[in-house]
Amino acid sequence: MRNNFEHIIFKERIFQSDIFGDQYREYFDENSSSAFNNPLFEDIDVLLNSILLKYPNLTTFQKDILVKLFDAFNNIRTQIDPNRLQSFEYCFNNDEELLLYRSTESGLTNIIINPDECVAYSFIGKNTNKRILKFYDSDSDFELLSLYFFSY
Amino acid sequence: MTECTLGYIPERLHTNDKPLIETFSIGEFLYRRCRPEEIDNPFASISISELSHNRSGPEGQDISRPEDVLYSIQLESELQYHTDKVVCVLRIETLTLEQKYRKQFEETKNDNIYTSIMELLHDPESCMYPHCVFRIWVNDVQVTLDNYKENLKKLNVIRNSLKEELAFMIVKKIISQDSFPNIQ
Repeated sequence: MRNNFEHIIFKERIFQSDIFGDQYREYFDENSSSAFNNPLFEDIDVLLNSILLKYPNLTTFQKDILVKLFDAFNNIRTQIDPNRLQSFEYCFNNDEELLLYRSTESGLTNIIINPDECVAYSFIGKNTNKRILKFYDSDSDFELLSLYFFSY
Repeated sequence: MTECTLGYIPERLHTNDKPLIETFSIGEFLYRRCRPEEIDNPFASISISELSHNRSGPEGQDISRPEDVLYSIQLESELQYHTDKVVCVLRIETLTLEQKYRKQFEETKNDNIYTSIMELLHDPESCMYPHCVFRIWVNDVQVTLDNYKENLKKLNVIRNSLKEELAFMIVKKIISQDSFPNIQ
């Protein structure tokens, strides 16, 4: 958990975003800090820890990817519309894959973290035939993957 | 094909001497018995080793209704109808020139190339004529429940591609039990 001073610095940084600074100010005025869609980065830490605690059998690869993704989620906050930072869900499936997913009016987005060596990103449009499936490894650009994740 | 001995299965679903229909139609529906959450996110719950469906029938031939997939056809079971499940509807979007559903996926792992084929086959059961199945091969070995862990489970790219293909086919609606007042 980071301290209040770091929160203040972080808020100042995202307020300075040319594109979304005003929207972040509104966001902080209107929302509490208990939900993930509030751009306070302590929420991301809490969520990351809760996933790690809920699924103690994650592989080292899955934990490493998860940390990289959550770092990227934090870093992209000044680049995207805060309204896009909607809470997402997560689960563990029978193939021992950890899923982070968002279901919106646009469609279903998944980040699928396999037990070893591979991460998949999938988007399936709800009212269109749009579909995307991409694969990543541990050296991939996770900020780009995060932008994809929050882009629909 | 043996005769259907389950009295609660409607006669129209008995296979008897009806022919195998090897071709499919674009827009034909597949009905799958599933838990409601499977439609919310197929990646979370689709099991690639269990892919039975009922088909609606090629154009002009309605051979089943959505709710028919909720009938149990297990001889040794007393369960007649799966009241805890809903019907997930898939739509066939693409076919080969021969009007068959066949998809191929590849993955290179440890310098080995793996080729997977997914085919949809009409597979009538004596009490369920519209029954069909997605059958999957990896390098010419059919994927089964027994070999799944040593086979497809190790191929992350192919497995996720298969799931994505199935997830894309799902029509975004659930047909619930309440829609079938005549069957309980």
